[in-house]
Amino acid sequence: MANVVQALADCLETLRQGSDLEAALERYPEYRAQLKALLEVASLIHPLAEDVVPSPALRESIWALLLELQDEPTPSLFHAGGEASEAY
Amino acid sequence: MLKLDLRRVDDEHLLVERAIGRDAEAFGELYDMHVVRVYRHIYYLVNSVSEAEDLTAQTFLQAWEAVDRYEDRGVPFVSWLLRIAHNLAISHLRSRREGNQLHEGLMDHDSLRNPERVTERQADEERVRQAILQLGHEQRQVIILRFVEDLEYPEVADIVGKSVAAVRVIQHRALCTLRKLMKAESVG
Repeated sequence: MANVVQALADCLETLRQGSDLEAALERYPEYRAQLKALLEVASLIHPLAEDVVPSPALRESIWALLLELQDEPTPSLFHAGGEASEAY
Repeated sequence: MLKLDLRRVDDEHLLVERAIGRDAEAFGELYDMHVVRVYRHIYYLVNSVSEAEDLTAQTFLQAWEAVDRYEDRGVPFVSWLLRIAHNLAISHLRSRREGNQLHEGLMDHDSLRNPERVTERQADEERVRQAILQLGHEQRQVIILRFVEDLEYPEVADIVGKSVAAVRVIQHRALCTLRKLMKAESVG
């Protein structure tokens, strides 16, 4: 019998492959309540990926720092279209 | 799980080779491909927009200086970047005095959110985000790498310097902690 750590990992993988929650839980009836609660928490985390992005100015400041490091500065560290290219 | 198609992997491989040859433009393209993930990863560790930006800059500067030491052993380039980011962020956290940074970070980020978009689901997501920021470094790191960055266990293990089995244990503990934190908040 798998322990709850392994059961959680299996359920997460099952969900990742596209199964629904019930299908993931049915293999582990002994841990059902605990796993269900944890999987519900996990489902809330993934959307956070879209919520945090760096400011556009960061690119320009990194570009400036990298230019200082280069032995022979090149005309375009970042490809055309970015703020850095426009600034230099 | 890194959702990269094969063509993109090939493109990235070529870009890395060019960057190793000190092709700055290629490195700039690698930056564009991965900066969001690097920044996001650091942000959720240090919980401050300004510090995350500084550390993101340091990550890419170190990567540029050390890119010739990158070896493609089946580990994606982004995992290598995230390992640099991880080391910098952990070092930064160790040197930072514990204080009111948490509050500062939340203020930073809240200012970027549009209150009109807050729905019940978004309120839950905000609660879980704040709960993540209360986790210890190790648990927070694993949660971000697994569920925000969507990395496989071996990649997470490589970045945090633990075994796959240890990462699974940390993942379980972290989700238990998050659940308790969220429950406590909803009761309180």
